Amino acid sequence: MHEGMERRTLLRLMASTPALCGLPLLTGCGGGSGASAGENPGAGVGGGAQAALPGTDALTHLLRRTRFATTAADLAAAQELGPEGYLDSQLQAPAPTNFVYLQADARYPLTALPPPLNVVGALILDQMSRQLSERTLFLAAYSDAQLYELVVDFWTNHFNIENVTGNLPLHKLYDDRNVIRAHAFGRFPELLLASAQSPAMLEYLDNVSNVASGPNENYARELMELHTLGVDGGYTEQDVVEVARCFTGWGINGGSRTFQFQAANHDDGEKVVLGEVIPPGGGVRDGERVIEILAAHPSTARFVATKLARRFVADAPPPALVDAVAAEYARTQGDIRAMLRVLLSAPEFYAARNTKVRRPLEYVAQLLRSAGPASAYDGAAMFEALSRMGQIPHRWFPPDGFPDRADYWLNTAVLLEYWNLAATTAETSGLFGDATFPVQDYDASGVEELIDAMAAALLQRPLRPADADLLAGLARAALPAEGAAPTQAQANLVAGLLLASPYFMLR
Amino acid sequence: MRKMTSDQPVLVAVFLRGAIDGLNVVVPYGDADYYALRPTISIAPPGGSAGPLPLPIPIIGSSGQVAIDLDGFFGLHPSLAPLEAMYAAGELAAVQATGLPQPDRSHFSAQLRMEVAGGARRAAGGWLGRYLAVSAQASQQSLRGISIGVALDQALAGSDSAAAIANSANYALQTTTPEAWRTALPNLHRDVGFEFRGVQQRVFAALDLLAQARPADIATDPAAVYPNDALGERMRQAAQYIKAGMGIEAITLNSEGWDHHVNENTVLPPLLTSLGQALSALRVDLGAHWQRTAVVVMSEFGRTVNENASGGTDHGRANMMLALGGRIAGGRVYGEWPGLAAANLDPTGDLAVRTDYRAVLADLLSGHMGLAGADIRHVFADLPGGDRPGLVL
Repeated sequence: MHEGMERRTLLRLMASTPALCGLPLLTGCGGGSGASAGENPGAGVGGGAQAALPGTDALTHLLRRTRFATTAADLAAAQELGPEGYLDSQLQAPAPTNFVYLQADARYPLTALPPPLNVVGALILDQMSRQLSERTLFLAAYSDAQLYELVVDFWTNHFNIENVTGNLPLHKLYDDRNVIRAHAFGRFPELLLASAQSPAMLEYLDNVSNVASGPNENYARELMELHTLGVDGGYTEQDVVEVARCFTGWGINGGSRTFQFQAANHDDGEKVVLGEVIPPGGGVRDGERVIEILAAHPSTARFVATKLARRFVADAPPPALVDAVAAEYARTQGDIRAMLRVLLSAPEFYAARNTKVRRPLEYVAQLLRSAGPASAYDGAAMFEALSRMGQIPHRWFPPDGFPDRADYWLNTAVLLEYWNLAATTAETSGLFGDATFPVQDYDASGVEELIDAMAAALLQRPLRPADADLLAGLARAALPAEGAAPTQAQANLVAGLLLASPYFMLR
Repeated sequence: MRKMTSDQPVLVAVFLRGAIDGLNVVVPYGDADYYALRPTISIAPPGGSAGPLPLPIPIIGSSGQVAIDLDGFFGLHPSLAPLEAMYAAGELAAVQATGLPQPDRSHFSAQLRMEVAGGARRAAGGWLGRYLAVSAQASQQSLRGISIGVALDQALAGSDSAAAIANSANYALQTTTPEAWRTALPNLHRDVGFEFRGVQQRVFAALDLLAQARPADIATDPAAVYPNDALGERMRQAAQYIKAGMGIEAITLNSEGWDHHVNENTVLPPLLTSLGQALSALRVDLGAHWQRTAVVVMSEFGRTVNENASGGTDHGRANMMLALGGRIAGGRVYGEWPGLAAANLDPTGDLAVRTDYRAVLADLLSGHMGLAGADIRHVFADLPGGDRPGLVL
């Protein structure tokens, strides 16, 4: 990571030129329209919910969409690599020995070395649940494998499991490690099978109770509705019944707490799933065949492509882009990285500036990374903030995962929480009385320079001239500086308002 | 003319997420098929095994639970005992065999359909959002609808006078320089797309109204004992908004965790106990305000008529609804009962819908909220004319 002196050097470099022109890729220099030739900020994508803020440049856009959190140092590092090199580097899963992951293991030891179930009591289950949720936020904010963490988050929600009830805190630890993280950059059919055999999923959607004498339809329905075909993907109520029969007997071994097929509970009769006859006597093969049928179905390709495009491009993604990603799914049999490459290289992707609003986890992760190094991380405070915003990782209780549309999150409860977290982050001093955003870091001789430097550091984008003027006026009026040099109080006001603004919330 | 806040009618919509098993809540103990379909999770008739029907199996209540009689045919789940007095006083009505006009067994799709309430057509926002929009001329107030939670419920979507507030006690702007922030935020949220500007304005409207009315300071009646859980806290806040006389007309709140595919005998009773206590406490807490309050309790669909092998039920079709309030024509179970005999079930073998749930909501909007017929058609565009249950006195 780029921290400490490197960060300060960069900030000085960026602050030493007017507006943001110190960085060659940033547009909007000279107070013009904000878009250079070939840039198309936010036009034509997103179902009419268009932001009229100045667009970011192409590389900054790529970073904002492929990361939870970006700093000026991250942007500078990506500029050295160029867009393709950056994307290549981000399409690698992190090594287990990566420093931030070792830090995460040390901070959250129960997630690193889960004890066997027979010594697990209620108290330790609570701690496991809490540690996994905090670890997820920690990695979102501080991992340099940022696209990986974003894709882990995507699959975590696609195969959503809450980690509070019963033994789910324990089982979700294994699911996070062996299903979601193991396959996040792999192939969808393998991820789907791993999820179907994950003790956490077997318990969460009641397949442990799905037996021949009275099938339980919960997993079968959500498998088709939420994991593969989509609600309009072409299955019938009878398919739900038949798929449930195929998964009878898929359970958990009581000793090892791993997947176990229990033949005595399996319905070995003939089934018909989406028109395909599954012959009698198939045993565990029935469920495996269902996974194959669903993974190969065109509705699954389209459903997964739509959700990926919604995550990375716009709430209402461009149909042509969904088609392209679905075609790549079909061509590669669900190669996740291949789909991401198509998605993140498409003209529609680059045209979609300012078409996503940060969800709370993305907001808090960015705030943390902007505010400083991992050593200053206060997990408990951020956990409480996410709780008030309604997005503690792994604590969405229904199986559909946290919503991925601005019209859910952009409401009067969450917006006020964003403002308040921005204000308290900017205005509260740390343990040793140091400011979160020390005014001297920005090396500004006047308020206007301070605002430009803070926008470069915290937003990586220029402000509309009227907004910059407004902030300068408020900084002067509310907190008159002694002499020309900006004060810490002025820096707190500017930083807080930038973090509380749509400039920061829009991706 | 705007009504005085002291007699402003208010509607509280409680959504039970996950699809409550209505057959074990408003129990058709007089329908013999009920006991045949549910060998281990049925609720016994009032009086226990000495039920009114000659049944082939002994029924100590296979669940070990005994219904409270409502009308000689239906009984209430015993965990809803806190509501018994309200039913007897004619302030609680139940509707059976009600639901969406079209089958939908997806939680998410069915909840969305139910809250949008557009029927076959596309409709903007949600049913309460459209109510607020169509009745807006009668009110000058900037904030008239509240979702008690971290998100605006779909039912209230589409109105510019609805807000989500999770906890009124700490809904405050926490900067040390509030004047500068209040100047800056409207500008920073202007012309940036999405709903930033509208939401920002509604945050300020909510902050101002809460600062003036201070609902969090309204004392809870000591005799009102809310359950010590999320639902109880939300219901307590609903009472505070109503008692504050701050002009709130529509309140939505949720109760989660009703998707009982397994072990209904153990998971349903505590949830129903909480629900019953919360509704009962609301009635006590509201005192005289109960007269201007109506509460509707709904869920996305009913569950299978037969139990599965895990002592639970899967996704079904028709469900029950509850309506409570000082002006509710209660003490009755409404709705035509189609019966549980195989021939009377819907094509997938579930309880058939005989009362469109929108007819129940329309009853409350017209009878309780005073919405005119033409405006009802704006809220529920293609709701067939037909009979309404007549739930409001």
